[in-house]
Amino acid sequence: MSDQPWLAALRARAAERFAADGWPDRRTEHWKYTSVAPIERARLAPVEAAAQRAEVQAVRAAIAPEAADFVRDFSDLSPALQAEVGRVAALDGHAFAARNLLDLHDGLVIHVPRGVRVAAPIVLAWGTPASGAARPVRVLVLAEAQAEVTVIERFDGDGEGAALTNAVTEIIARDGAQVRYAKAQLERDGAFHVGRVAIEAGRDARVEAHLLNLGGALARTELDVALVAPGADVALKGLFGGRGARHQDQHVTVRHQSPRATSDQDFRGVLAAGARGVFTGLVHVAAGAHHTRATQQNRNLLLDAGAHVDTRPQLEIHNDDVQCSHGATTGRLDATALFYLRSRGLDLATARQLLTLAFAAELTEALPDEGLRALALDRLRDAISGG
Amino acid sequence: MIEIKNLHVRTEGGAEILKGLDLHIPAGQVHAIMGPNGSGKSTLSYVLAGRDGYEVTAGSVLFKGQDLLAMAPEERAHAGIFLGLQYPVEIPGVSNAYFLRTAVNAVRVARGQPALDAVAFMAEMRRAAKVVELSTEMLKRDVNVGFSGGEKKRNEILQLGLLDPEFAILDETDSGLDIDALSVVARGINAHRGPGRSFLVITHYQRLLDHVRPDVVHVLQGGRIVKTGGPELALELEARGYGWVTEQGA
Repeated sequence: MSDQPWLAALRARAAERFAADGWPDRRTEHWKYTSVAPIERARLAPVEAAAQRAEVQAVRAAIAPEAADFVRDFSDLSPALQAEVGRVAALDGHAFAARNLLDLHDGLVIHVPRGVRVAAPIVLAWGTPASGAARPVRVLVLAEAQAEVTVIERFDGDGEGAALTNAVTEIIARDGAQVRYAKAQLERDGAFHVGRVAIEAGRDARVEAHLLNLGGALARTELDVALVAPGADVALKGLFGGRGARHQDQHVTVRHQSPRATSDQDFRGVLAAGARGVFTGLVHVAAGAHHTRATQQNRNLLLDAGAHVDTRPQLEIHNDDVQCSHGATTGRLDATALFYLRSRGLDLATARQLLTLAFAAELTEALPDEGLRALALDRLRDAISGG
Repeated sequence: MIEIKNLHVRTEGGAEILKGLDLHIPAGQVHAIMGPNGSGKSTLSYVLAGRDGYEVTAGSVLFKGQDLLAMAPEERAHAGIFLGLQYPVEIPGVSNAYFLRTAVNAVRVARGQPALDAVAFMAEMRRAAKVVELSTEMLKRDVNVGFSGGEKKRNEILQLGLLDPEFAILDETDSGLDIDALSVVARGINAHRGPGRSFLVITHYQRLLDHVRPDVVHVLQGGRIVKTGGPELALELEARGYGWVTEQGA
């Protein structure tokens, strides 16, 4: 089976872009804290077309039957849907997004028609790539006006050796649509994961996006949000970290392009010995985006001396009529609280675990799925206990 | 029950705070320690409960014949020590009920008793909450978060009731309480008095002792017990101030 002409055209554009840009290096502002040299050095081979298509079908087959009607692969898209693939996740300055398209032969589109509410969460279980493989994963979620849907992407599984998942997810919430989205990056220890979640929120649309960036050796997820019409409301909630040789990078850009829109960011890092976290976040408020309300918080918990985090929250505001706040904190477990718990009979390990899970509780409790919450809590417990 | 001999304590890398403190509290008795600010009252309570940051340079503490100072804070709790804090800690993200159950079962298992299941624990918690007039709503909230000063102290006495210690140290449990809250807290303490349980009530003021009648009153000053007497000593201190003890001793 050969690729669809529309996809071939996208790939050709991506090939040009990638040839021009190449891999990012740390001289690029956006990649200041994360080196992709280990990924380049691993010399990974793109997954072939047939294997990609088989994987997409396997993921699709595992979707709950009552939700499966809303999910299509790339062979079955109307021209209108074809035109949406790659529109929100622009390629400029995004070498990995270009590489994703360049290597891409199939993907999934979740299309929820106007006014339709999909009750069951749509779970896309992507598993983990084979050793030596560079795997592109591509998803478009399009919620038409007043539609409601929950989408969960999971990247986890057993395996060994270096491999790369390069995942691009585009989420379009049209007027009044409500989208809940969660991405669980729980890749195995030796794996790389680079991802981009690009969100476009329309008039009075509400998008809640959760990121669990808790696996892999080197993982970066970019969250790009565009609030393109009045009343759009986007909440980003991210939990990152772990123990051992991990590098977890979250790179957030929120663009307020229209009045009366709201955005909230709550990112928390839990980092144990050997782990390194990065949070860079930008809220950009355009000149015409009056009555913008934006918050941006990054809180980090360093469990041991060998953990490190770089945090850089930024606001760029081009009008006076806004309510914006941002901040970042980095600290350790509270010694007084640890003593309090121990004086009540909890041993040190239990007390540390209780306080660490409490630090993350607002985020884990907000996750849209019970199974996902259990996975997140397991990862956090591993990080705390020294695994 | 507890035997403190010649206890010398300094803050880590800092000044000596307790300078040869002696104290013996037999089973079933309530002892009060009164003293001016900076006399070492809170230091004594923290050292007995095992908080980091203090260095014992001399002396010993025996609890039921065991060397208390060699034990970790949780081991002391398992052995039957309880400290009611002057400033109970807020723990956002942990419900009070979950915290209490985790604590009760940690202590029970360490004492060789079976852990309580959710149903048995709820019954136990309701019973203990009633003693200090805490509503079930307070049990669902995060530990001490948004609690008034009185509610925090009642929550401490609730923990005392659930953890069933043999020796309870109450560090300025009366501070910051209005008279109504004080009487609820005092009733809670009195409800837990008994022949198998001793108390060390640390206070700056005499008013708590109007409600919780001590067997013995000690005056702590300059890191040592400088005077010991019956309940009437508290009244005398209230009337004449701590200066009177110093003058008398001089």
